[in-house]
Amino acid sequence: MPADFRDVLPLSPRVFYVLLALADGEHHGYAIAKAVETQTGGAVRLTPGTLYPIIRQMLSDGWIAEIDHDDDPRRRCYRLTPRGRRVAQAEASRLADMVRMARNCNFLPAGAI
Amino acid sequence: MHGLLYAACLAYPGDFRKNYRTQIVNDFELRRRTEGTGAAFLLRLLADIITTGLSMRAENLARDVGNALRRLRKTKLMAVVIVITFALGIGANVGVFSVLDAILLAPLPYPNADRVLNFALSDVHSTSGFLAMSLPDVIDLQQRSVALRNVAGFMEDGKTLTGFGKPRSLNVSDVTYAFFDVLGTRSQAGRFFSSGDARSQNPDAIVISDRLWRSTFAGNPNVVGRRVLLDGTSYQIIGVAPPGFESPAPELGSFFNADVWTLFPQNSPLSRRGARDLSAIGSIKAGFTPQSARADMQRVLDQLRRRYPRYYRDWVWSIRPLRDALVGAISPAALWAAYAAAAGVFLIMCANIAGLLLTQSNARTHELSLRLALGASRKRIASQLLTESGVLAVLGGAVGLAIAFAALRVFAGLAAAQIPRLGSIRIDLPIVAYAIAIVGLATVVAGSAPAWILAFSAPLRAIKAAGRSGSRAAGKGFQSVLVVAELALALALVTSSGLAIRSFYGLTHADLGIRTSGLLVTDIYAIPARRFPTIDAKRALLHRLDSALTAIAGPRVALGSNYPTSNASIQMSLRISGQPSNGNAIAALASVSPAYFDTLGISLERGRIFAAGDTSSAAPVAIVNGAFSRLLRARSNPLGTRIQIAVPNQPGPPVWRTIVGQVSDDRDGPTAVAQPTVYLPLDQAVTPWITAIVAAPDSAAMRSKIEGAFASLDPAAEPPPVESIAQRLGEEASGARLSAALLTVLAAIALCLAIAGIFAVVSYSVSQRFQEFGIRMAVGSSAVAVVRNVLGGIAVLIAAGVAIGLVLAAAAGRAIVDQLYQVKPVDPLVLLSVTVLLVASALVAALLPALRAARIDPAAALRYE
Repeated sequence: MPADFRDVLPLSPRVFYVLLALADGEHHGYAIAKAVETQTGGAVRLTPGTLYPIIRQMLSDGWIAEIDHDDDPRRRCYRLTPRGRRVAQAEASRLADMVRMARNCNFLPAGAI
Repeated sequence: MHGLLYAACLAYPGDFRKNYRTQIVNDFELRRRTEGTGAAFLLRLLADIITTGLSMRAENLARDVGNALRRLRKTKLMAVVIVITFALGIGANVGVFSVLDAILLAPLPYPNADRVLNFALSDVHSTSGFLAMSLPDVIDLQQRSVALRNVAGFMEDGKTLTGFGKPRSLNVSDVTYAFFDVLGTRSQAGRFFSSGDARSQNPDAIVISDRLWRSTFAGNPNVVGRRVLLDGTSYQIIGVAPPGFESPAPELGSFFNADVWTLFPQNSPLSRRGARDLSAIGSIKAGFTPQSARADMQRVLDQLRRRYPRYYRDWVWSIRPLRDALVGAISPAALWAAYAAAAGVFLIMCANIAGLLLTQSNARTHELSLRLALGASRKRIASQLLTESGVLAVLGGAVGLAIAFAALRVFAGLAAAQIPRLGSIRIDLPIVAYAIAIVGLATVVAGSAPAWILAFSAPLRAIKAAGRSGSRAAGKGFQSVLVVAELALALALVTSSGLAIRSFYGLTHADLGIRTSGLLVTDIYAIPARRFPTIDAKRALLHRLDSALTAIAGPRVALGSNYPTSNASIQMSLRISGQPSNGNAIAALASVSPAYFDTLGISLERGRIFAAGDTSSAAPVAIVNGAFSRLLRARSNPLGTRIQIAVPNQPGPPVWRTIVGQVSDDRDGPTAVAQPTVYLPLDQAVTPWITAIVAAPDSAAMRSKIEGAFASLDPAAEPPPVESIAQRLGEEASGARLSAALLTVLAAIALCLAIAGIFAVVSYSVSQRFQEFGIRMAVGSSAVAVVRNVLGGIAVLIAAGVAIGLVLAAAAGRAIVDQLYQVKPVDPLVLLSVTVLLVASALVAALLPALRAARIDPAAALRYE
């Protein structure tokens, strides 16, 4: 795990989902919420009420950046910054480590995941 | 639906809301159109918005408080000054409020308290308010009134309990049967009085206090039904009052700690219509207001006036809520005045702090401009600045509360005797809630204008100009307004306290027509009826007492049924020969020994005073005072006129007496008027109680000798407490003293804050103009000219403050006019001295920084920065 992200980890699950939703390119807010909902099979539903405070925080931390959408100036799109990508990677490897440990303790059957 | 969303978004901090509200609404709209989501989603969204919004605000606040604390550590001196200022203003306010709360707002110990009126009939010719009622007055009011559910009369008394070890003297309250019903109190054992008890010829039912029940009867529930001996008469206990129940004592403004309640005898000589010696209370029926009850009582009085003109013609109702009767020496109006003064102190505090905060404007312009440049919104900066004020207000409030409660403890200790329930002041929920509200108010009132001015005046260009002296500081005009406001308020407050002090001085130095120093007086001594049952035995006892006291203190020793300020005066109706007995003639009656007039310093105006020869067997005589003579039809020389006046507990019809002398008037207190008074020789009119007046220097030894003289009469009876006349008069003026003390403390705080405010503002402006003064002096300006320049600027503000202050002071004086004694609400002496005091101290406060300006070294000033 890169040392410079240690103090921001672990990420809150919602923040991580947003990072994951932006992995494949830029999206506007509603698309991010839909992507999270699809990826989690409907288990996690972000309303705009909780999504935008997360987006604002990630913007000010420099993990995502805002791009003006050409066809609709009122609709703002967001993309991952390199820094955001590294944070997501750090969190993913932290989670992978934990999963490995869980498996060693037989908390997870060998075939699962 | 969008309106709902927009409203919910108010939960978010402003800058976030502005940036994201449209997107949130758009997303919701998009989801609704593409998926057709319904009400459940909307509800979830609203809940999300509100909870995340509030938690974002909480985070902001926590961050601001952290920043504020860090910043305060950097400006320690300023922070300490502001905290002390907050402490004084908030402490004064909460302190006065808790007195107000304990005395006026807290519930009385009677379930029915808020529906109970205290009333009395008072003589239109007398200014003293709450005289009393007679038993027939009480009974008639009960029967004729439709708005009062119950009416009760009561008076204080004392009896000796025997049969339980040493004889004990008990406080007894003689009441009419409805007494407990009026107050709504329930017995904890047995029952209270019924109308049946009252109808019996010799009512012997008594109710005992919880204290007596526990101390003498060990809390035994079988006490109900037992018989006990009081003054040798057998009484039956029918009930026990609940713990903590005390009789109201409206005539004392306090409570009477009764051990026993007895029924007022219906057929005693004191139950006659003219004998107005009872306090009275009545409970208002459901469906009636205090106003409609008053109107109803007036109707009853009109009826009685038609039926018994001689007893009611010149008598009017004095009616007040029972609550107002139990606030002790200090009147509700005086408490509200003190609260208004505390509010004034609070405003001065806010103005002072606002001024102090503005002096930071230059020091902080650089920091604030930098934050603006980094993208913080001005609103966000203002809220950060307001948080700093809030942190200071919370700290100041905590210090202020500690000071307030320490001061209250001292105050309660000093005044507990004069003000009931002062001892019950404690930090309870209402006080805490009030304190929190006051801290919040202080933050907003003191902090918001400076926060706004600083945040919105800090320009981006200030990065260049920051710290440069000579640039016009933000909020300069506002600072001037604050100085003027502080001075005006302080002037009004100090003037009010000056008026209160003059009133207090007037009350304590009023000419009552008697000697007010060098006299020792006793409380009332009830002559033990068992040992001295007959008039002759009582008379012999009085002679023995007179000789014993003369042996102790020399010839200036007097005995009397009462004396001015003794609270024992009795009113009697009388007949004057040659005048129709129309009931108009009512006079105060005093049975006195011959030395009474000389001892009290009452001078003889006509005829003679009593002599040793005015014995029981000699011709019946009387002496009257000037007020009585004015009552006579001819208003002429009263000598030789014959009068007939009843004497309490004297058998047989009253005798005709000849007036042999006229003496000077005396008064019961500074606010009382001289009552028409008839003096009778003690030998010819033995009363069942006595007081002694001894002209002697006050000392513990003398007091105990006087008590010893009483104790030698009957070892079983307690001697009456001895006091100096000055103490008695002090008690009369204690309300005025308390309110003067309260107002003076508040005015002193106001004055200090205002002066400190001027000092801070002038110091600041001098520091701002450091360079300017350097240049002025470099080009030849003298030090005097610099001082004049600085003082000239502040003098305009002082003049404006004084002008507005004088108007405010006149209004304040008019508002407290009812509490003033022999002082006009606009008193030139007070106004002049307060103005001089205020202007002088303001000029001194401005002079100190001005002198500093005059000492500026031009070379240093030019090198500055």
